[in-house]
Amino acid sequence: MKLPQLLSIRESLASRISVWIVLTVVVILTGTAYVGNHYVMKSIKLEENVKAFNVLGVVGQHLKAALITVEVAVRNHMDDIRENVNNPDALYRITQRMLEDNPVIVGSAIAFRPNYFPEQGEWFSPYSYREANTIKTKQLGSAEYDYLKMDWYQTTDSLKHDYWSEPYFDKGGGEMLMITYCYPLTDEHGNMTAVVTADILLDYITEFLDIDYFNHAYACMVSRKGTFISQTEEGIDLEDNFFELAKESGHPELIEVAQEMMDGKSGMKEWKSPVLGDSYIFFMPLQHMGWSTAIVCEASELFKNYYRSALVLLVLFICMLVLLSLLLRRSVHRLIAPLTKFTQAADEVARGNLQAILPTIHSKDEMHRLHQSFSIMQRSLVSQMEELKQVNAAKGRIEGELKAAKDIQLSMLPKAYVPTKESKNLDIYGFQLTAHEVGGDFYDYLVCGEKLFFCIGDVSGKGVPAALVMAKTITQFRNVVRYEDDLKIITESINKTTCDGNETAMFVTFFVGVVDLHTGRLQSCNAGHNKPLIVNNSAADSSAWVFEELPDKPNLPLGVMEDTSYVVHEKDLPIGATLFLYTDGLTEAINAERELFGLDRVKEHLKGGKSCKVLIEEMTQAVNQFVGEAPLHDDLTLLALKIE
Amino acid sequence: MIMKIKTYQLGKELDSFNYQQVQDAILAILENGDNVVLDMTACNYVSSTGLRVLLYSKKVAASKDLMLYLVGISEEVQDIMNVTGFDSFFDAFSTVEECLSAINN
Repeated sequence: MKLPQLLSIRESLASRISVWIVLTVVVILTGTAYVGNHYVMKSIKLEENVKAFNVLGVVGQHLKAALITVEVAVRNHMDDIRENVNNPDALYRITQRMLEDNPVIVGSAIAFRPNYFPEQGEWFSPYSYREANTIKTKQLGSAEYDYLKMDWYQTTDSLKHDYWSEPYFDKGGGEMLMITYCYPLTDEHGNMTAVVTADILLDYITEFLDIDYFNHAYACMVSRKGTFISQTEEGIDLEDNFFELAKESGHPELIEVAQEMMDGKSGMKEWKSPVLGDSYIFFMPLQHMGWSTAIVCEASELFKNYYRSALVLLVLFICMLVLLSLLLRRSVHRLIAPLTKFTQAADEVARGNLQAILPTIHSKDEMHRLHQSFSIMQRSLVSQMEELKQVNAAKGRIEGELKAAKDIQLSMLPKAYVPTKESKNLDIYGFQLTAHEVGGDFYDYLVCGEKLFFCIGDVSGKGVPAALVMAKTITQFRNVVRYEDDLKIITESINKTTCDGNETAMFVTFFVGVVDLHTGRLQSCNAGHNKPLIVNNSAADSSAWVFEELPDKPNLPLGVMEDTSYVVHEKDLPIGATLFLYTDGLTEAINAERELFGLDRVKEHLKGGKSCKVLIEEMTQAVNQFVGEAPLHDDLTLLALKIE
Repeated sequence: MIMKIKTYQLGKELDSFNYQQVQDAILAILENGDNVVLDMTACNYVSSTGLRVLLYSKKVAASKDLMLYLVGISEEVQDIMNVTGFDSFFDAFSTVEECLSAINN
């Protein structure tokens, strides 16, 4: 299979499904064929066994009939022989008649026991034989042809009844391979006087084995001693002994067959023949003779027809598989075609077209359910997108509102200070940075006549709630300082307003002060706020700086208790000294290592007698550097003022 | 009359991240009519939001004629309380035992 085709199998569901189904069919059919083959082979073997036995049975019947004609011919002449037993010349004629009567007999002799006829010498055996279509007669016994020592004579003498000899080559007699029927001639006392014989050629018997069986089968016939009487295969000498050949071959199956044949059994054996390969031997006894016949047949020959049918079936099977896979591919392809369209629709949805058209499904199967799920997904996506748009719009609105609120909050803080005639000796600068859009820190200042009012505050919490309270407090401060200059009254008034309706216990740490720009007299009230610092040159050493916290003891923050009495402190703010106010966003600024900025760092940056603007810008920069990448977690507000 | 008292233990910090949880817990105790002993031994930071929780709880308690006692205030938290002046607003003890014996006497 080419690579592109392989890839298409991996990427195409239709191909994969058809490959799996075809593979399953192949496995099932192969299994069935294997089992079927086993039983068919078995039944073919049985059938062939029966067929072979039939063939061998027929061979046996024919042979038996032929041999019986020989036996009958001999017996028929026995009375004649007895009558003429003292007339040697007549005996020649009897043997001659035997041949004339039965064309199967190629030679016949009446071999007398030694010196039966004293005038004839030791051997006397009238003998007729065939030569070139004529029957000739002669006396056979002589010193060269001493029949008395021959097997057939001695065996008949000892058996005292008729028998068929083993095959032998009649040297000096028939000069051919033959078997001989021997019949003992006895006198009135039962003593054997002669052996009457009838010879038939092994070639004649071989004709019976010319049987109509398979082409490559060969048959053989062995005597009870195992000598080949007849066989149809070249290369085996008829004088060989089957049992000895079997032993020499070393094939256990063959030895077993030989043993069973010798025991007069019938049967079938598989045998791996060196000549034929896998073969079968069918063997059967010839009861009449005590011989055995066998057919050896190539296994392939035996199953030839079956193999041919199996081949046709195999070709059909392969054709069917090819057809099946083509049909499957086609039909599965048609079944899953909507999947491709679903994929395209999904791609389109992914690109943003939520209304992508889905394939039409008419069936009620999984594809239908997929269609339903897909539609639900589409609808839900549309509604969620709509929701998302609304949420985004709302978020945008809130962000916009917060931005506006931030601007409003910034506008509540004082603008950059512009010195007036009365306040030209004043330096003041404030700065604020919120953690969120809006925050709860604030500062404010305003000059009323020769007095500067200023404040700084921090509302508890952050964000919008803190910002609302911050707006309320800073507005209240502005309003109150317009008509009141007593800090105690100012603070208590703002506290009352803050406590008013303060259900959620919001509170404000607040520091308010007023300084006389002429005298430097400072009054202050601290409502729970971080203590501001006064930074001044050391009186003793101009390069050293002294810090003073204001005041020792703070009051409660605003909004805690309505009837809190606020204590106001008074002191002088020396010329050139800087009053520095801050919220806890400064000292509690945290860096990535969770360290606090701390009061010591604050003090370090306060040194140097800088202008308020420079001081606060440097302080802000220092905090930003200290915090680094960490997010600002609280609002940061700084206010510095100085009287020159 | 024996005062009904429940002790609530604060964690390491009381700030804008956990104030809601602490506030709900304290209010639940007050709602049940019990006085609250807030054990702050483990706590070393209270933010302004945290202070608001203490203040709010104290106000709710007062409205129900109940008490909120602070116990085991650490040095860091004491600084914060001093700066804001809250130290004068709350009843504080150094240990829970001391607090309980003071209440019962």
